[in-house]
Amino acid sequence: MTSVPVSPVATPPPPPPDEGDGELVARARRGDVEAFEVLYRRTSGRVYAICLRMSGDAERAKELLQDVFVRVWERLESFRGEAAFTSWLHRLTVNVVLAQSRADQRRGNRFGTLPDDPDAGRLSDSGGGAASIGHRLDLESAIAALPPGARKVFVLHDIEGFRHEEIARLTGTAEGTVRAQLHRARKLLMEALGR
Amino acid sequence: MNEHLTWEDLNDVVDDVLAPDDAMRARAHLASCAHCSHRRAELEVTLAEVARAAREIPPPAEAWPAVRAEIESRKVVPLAGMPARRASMARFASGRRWTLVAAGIVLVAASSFVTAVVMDRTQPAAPATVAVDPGATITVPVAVVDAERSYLASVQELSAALEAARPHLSAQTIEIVERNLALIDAAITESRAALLRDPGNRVLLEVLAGTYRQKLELLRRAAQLATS
Repeated sequence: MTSVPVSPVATPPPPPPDEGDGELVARARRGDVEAFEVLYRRTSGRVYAICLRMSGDAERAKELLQDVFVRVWERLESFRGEAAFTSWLHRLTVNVVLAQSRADQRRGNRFGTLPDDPDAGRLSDSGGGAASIGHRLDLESAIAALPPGARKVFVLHDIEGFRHEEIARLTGTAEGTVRAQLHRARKLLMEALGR
Repeated sequence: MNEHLTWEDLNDVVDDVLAPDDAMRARAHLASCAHCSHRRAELEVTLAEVARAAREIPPPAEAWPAVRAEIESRKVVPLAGMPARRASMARFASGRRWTLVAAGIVLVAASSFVTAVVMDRTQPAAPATVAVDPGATITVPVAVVDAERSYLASVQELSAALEAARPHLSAQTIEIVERNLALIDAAITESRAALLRDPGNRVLLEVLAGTYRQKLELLRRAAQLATS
């Protein structure tokens, strides 16, 4: 038979500021939200940059960022520590953005609806301090103004360092298509920058 | 090669993905063509600029509170081992009075659990540890833990009452009840494990709720047998 009192969990001590990602992940797996917040503070800038550049929309990027970290929380158990936490996180981020993009395309939604429309991805807001620098604003605006399909390939290849074949696998397109999108993105970007 | 390099070829040169023969021809052309050499330099300068783009962009301040609220609402919590049964609960084991109380407990517990299962789980919930089976270390979502509080209290009371009524039950009845309780507990464990893998699955939540109701009903009927 069963006996069942209910008792509160003791509040865990706050993580030290120099605690490693591995230790923080271990604590977060045990339900320690404070440890997870430290991980968020350390990594959210990079995740947000990926979301913002790939979506080209600050509001959308915020939604994607939140979605990524909720999924990270839910999937911490599946992180085995074979790669760095940040590598796992960035891969998950790209997968979330691409999956959402595909879902939106299926729904005919705003994000990725018109892959050849150069106005489809205008950056509505910088979302942070990076865009306050003049030439960087030009660059970020030019990236955001790329057609969605070309922009995703460009960000993955030229900013995030993915290879053609990896992008083809992630996006479910032929490698030749990836290269064509990349070349087009670069051409449009240089034109936007007046080169 | 007298014709200028195409834009695609220039990009492939920069990315170093041309086949060896094509790469050799392209390099030879670049060495002798100021126009293509200039275009290549422009492309390389642009890509270098892109590579220097900020790796991090600070997210909006309101993003973390939203993330935290969401994970709190989905949070899973550990189930610790079972402490000793409280003998004081045996006070309920006294004939018809107990039966009426038990029936009321079953109704309230089952209703509140089902209500909690079907309601929208958007409100953050405080972390909690709930002890169920001896040595159990499985986890369940906080929403389920909240819903379980009344269920667990009811099971505790019914279990204590049944234990007190044990002398009035035949050995065969006790064996059947214990075997069925073991089966139901296994089903609860299985449902919890499935919920751990898929915390937002409402079908699994309803399956778990149904299993709880089965357990309460079995306990109630066994206790009724003891007093009839």
